[in-house]
Amino acid sequence: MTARSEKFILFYIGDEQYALPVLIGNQFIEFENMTLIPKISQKIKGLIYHNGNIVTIIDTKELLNIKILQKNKQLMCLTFEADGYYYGLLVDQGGETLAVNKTFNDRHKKVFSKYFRTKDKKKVYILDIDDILSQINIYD
Amino acid sequence: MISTKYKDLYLSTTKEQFKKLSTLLLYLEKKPASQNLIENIFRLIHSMKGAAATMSYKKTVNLLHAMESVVDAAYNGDLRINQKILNSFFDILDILKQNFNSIDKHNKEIVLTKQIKLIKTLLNQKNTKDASKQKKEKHILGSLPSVAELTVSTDKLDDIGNSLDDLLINAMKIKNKAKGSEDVDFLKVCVDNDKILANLRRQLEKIRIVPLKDVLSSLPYLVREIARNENKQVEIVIKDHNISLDKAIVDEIVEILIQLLKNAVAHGIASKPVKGKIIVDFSLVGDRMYISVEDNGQGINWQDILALAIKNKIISSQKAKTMTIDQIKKFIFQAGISKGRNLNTVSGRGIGLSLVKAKTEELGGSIEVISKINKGTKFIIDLPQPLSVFRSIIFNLLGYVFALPLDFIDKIINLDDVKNLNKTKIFTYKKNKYKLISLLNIFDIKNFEPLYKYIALINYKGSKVALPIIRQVQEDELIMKKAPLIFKNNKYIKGVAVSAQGQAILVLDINNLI
Repeated sequence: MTARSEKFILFYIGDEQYALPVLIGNQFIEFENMTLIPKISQKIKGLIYHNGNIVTIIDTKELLNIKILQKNKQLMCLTFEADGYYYGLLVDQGGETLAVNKTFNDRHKKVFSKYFRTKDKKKVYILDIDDILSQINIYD
Repeated sequence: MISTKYKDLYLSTTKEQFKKLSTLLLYLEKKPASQNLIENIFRLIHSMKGAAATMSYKKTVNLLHAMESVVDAAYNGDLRINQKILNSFFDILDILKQNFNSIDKHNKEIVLTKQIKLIKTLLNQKNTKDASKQKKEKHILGSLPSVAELTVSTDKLDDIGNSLDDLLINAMKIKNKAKGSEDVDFLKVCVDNDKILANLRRQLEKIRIVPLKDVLSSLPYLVREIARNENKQVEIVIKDHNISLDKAIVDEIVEILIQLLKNAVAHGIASKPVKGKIIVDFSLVGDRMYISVEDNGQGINWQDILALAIKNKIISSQKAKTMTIDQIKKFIFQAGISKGRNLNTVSGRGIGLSLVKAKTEELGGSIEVISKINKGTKFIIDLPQPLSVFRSIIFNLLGYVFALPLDFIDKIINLDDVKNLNKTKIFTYKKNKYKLISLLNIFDIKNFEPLYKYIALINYKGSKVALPIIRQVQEDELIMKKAPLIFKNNKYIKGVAVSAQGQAILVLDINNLI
């Protein structure tokens, strides 16, 4: 019997690799102009229009509390759909999709605690959708 | 068994048929001898039976078959429709509803043996003596026209709508290029395309638009059932004024109405010999829609509500002494306040009105209540009307791009010189005074004292306001899109629209800005 595997899309923030569960609406999009929103959490970067939908752009660095000063001319996001709404995680670089048989839990972390190990034993943290939405206060 | 992938289609079709059946039975209660009604009910039950048989829901088929036999007997004159038969049918509607829920959630039917048996006993009332005389030559089905209906999920319509929006945006871009090219033929083709696409979008919108009366047709049945359980007599009047709305919004409104009607029957209308009356009234005023639900019941005693709030420790007795009626009114929309003495399946858990308020606010609206002892209670819901394609002014404010629908704007004034209006409260134009709106204050944008070049004069619901604009006022056609969840608690932004350039633009909510 084979173990049940989960599929993830990998992406980079700086040199660090992260993973997002494969969901409906996953796509890497490059864009330049973003609509800014006043009086909003710093974790929300803005809005873009893509394929008929308004995509809420999430500042992944702010979400993960990563301090990297790297400004790309061309912005890129990894989109996903949750409950009929579209979101995009700002990423520095896209990666491949892979199936993972085993995930682990980092007890020291309150959010984004799930991870898996790559073949070369590197930890890749998973950005759970519920964690993302709770962090940007969508549930408030 | 047929694949469960057809289950959703079956359930959505059955839901509509179920609603029609409830309505027809209510009419039949008023006119029990109407052959036309009996014929239509037969046709509906027969169609529901066919759908259940296709899905191999055998218990459902047997129950519907038994119901069909009763209606068939009534049509042929072998059986007279009486209150006992109607009550049994109404009871069975409840069971069928539970059955459909079970199919939906657990993928299996519930046990229906008892109901089938009950229906079969109704056939014992058959008038066998006259049967041969009154028997119709032709069976009902033979004379019925067949109607083909197609059920399409709103998700699929959304997908088509999104693709069409993309196409519309591209067409706008091409039209703008054509305007600059001086090629008249090219421009003419673009203008024609524009008309075709706009027409296509309107047609698509029309598919989503349903008459309120169709969707609300199940409410009289609901009220009848609650009233029957509560041993009350209640009449419901729905004034829909032939309004039609987007099906998705109507579904949300129905949920709100169901809760308000449950409350009105269970708590509003008193158990007295006088017949209770509930009036549901819809009206469209400007860009708002108002829905009122009014009963002629016992009214709400606000002191009782205050006492409950104290008892449930929502407020201290000390604080309660200084509360105004308007403040007390807010308590009934809080979870934990219930006027019902007993908990029952209808209402009385004290969460109903809090859900109504939450749902109304989700739709960008508000709710208020007016009540007089022994006169009745009226709930008024104020909702924004959804926009689709609209002309708007678009302007920039320190990097933020806002839009305001043109319908609200009286005039845009180009100021002779740029002006610092940050401390100005009132703007005077041709002896008319306009209250100045500061988006900087509203959106908490600090440390900027911009100089304004334009002022948009707005006359909205009798209020005169002026909106200062820094620069770059454009007028354009925008397409309203589904607002992201992040705007759920932002009352100043009505939603997000898209321009011809494919840019997302924040649409201001004039109602709340004022």
